[in-house]
Amino acid sequence: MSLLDRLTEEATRRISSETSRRSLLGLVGAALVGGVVYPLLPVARKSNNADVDNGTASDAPQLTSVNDPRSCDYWRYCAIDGWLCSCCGGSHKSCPPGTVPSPVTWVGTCLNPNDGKSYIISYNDCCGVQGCGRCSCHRNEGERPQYRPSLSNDINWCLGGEQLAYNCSTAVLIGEA
Amino acid sequence: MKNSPGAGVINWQNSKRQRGAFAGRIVEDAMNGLALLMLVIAATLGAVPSTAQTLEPEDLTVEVLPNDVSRDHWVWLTDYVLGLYGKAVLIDTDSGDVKGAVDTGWEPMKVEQSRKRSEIYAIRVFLERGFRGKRTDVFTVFDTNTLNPIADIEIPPKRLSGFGTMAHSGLTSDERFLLSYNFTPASSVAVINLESRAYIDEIEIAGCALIYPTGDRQFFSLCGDGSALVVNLNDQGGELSRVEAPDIFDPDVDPVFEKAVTGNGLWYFPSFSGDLYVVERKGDTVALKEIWSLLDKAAKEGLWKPGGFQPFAFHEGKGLLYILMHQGDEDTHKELGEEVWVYDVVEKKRVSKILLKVMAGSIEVSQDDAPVLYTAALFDPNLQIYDALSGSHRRTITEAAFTPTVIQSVRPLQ
Repeated sequence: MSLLDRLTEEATRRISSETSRRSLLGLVGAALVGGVVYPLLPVARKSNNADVDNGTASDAPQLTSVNDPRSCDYWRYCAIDGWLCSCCGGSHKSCPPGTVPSPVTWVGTCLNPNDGKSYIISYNDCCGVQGCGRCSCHRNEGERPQYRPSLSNDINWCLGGEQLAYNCSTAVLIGEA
Repeated sequence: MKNSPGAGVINWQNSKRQRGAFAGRIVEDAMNGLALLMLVIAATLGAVPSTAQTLEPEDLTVEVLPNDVSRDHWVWLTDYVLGLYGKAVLIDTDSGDVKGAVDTGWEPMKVEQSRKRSEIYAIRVFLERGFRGKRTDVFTVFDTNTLNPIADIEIPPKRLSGFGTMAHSGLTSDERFLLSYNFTPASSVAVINLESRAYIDEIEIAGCALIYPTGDRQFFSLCGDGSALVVNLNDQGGELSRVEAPDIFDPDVDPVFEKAVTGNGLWYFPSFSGDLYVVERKGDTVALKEIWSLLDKAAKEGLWKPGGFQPFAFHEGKGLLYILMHQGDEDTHKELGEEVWVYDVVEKKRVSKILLKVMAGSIEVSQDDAPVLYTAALFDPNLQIYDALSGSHRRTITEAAFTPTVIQSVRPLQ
């Protein structure tokens, strides 16, 4: 479960005990829409350990999910933050139609559990269309304030290109680490 | 086709006389209908109320906010609107009424408030075709009574895009200059003269970020190596000198939040682990004044940590620092908080805890003698209001914003 999901669930659970069903539905609706927003900002986050991104220690991914580009557990996504292009008309290595790859990117080093090797992954963003809003994958491990901009997920990294609007994120394999 | 009242499309720019004629026609028709209705009623009931009054025609007006009311408990709430085009909503938290809003552009940051003029300012970003096309950045002046934009000056398109914090822009103490953070990803600070409403220039701050004003002609930025870069300005808004203030903090050991608060000449930077770094001005530079822990033994054992989107607020008159707290492990610095801990920064001790009715990511406090605490969360459209001294929950303002981010107390004119 992503941090976003946990935050949303916690907030919803907390508020649900204090609000009517109707207002809760309004909140949940807002939370779902809000969920579209929070991971909008791609992160340049280092992979602190060269291990598969497990979400939480007690939430170990199954092998099927670590090989599923539509899952936040996909092994290449160990340092990603955003909406997965695989759910938005693209794939883990292609942008959706109509978008433009961002020239600014960041890399992570991820362990492929299938061959036991580590690979350098480039997290290019796809820009020029408003936020996709599907398959959010967001973590704050190693995230740092903006005085370390390459580690900050408060920055919209589409800003380096011709198109400012962020749509989704890819995970392109660069080579063996 | 040019619209005319007769075409059934109301042109509100028409003269009052034309509107009156149009309104008169509507009233005439309505009156004919009303007379017929009254006859039917009279025939049916055999009586007409002798005291019946004819309603007067109305002119549509536009509200103007008065100057002679207290705005002590008003806030500007930035609505990120799903990361699209946003706004700042003006809310009277005593009545719970939304008083109006100003458009603050693509991925809005925050507003800057003048205490000398009835003005607020925003650095706004627009894309030529809505979500695509040439980007234009503007410095906009809004009148705080009419909420109309009264000046809109194009500036280089370099403002940072992403989530806003209170450190993305600032005013010099004398309000001569507005400073706005650029990130392209080269970092610099744009300088705008508020008196002439003119863009001056940018000052590069490579390796450093954000803006913490420290007087009429000085600001500093935090740098990735834990130092601060201090820039001193001349009277024209250009760079007079720069000084590196080393060893403010160690970002590899215990990063400080960049979401600092200020008051009484000091800047307060809580760290991820719960220490408070206090930075003061020293002539043409700044220095670390002191570090003290916000957490006692029990708090540390309970894994209490500061965190959130806008997790700190400061009441300058009472010297009270408000910190949003949660329980969590490392890297939980953006978790929602469930309590606000209140510290006396002179006594360097916690004086109270406020248990929040609803978990929050952003907090702010009013600056009057009977302060209120405002809280909001990114996913929650409601704004919560608490008594900032007793901690009691006062009210929930529903549907305050689609995506609440930065909360700013309205600062009264001096």
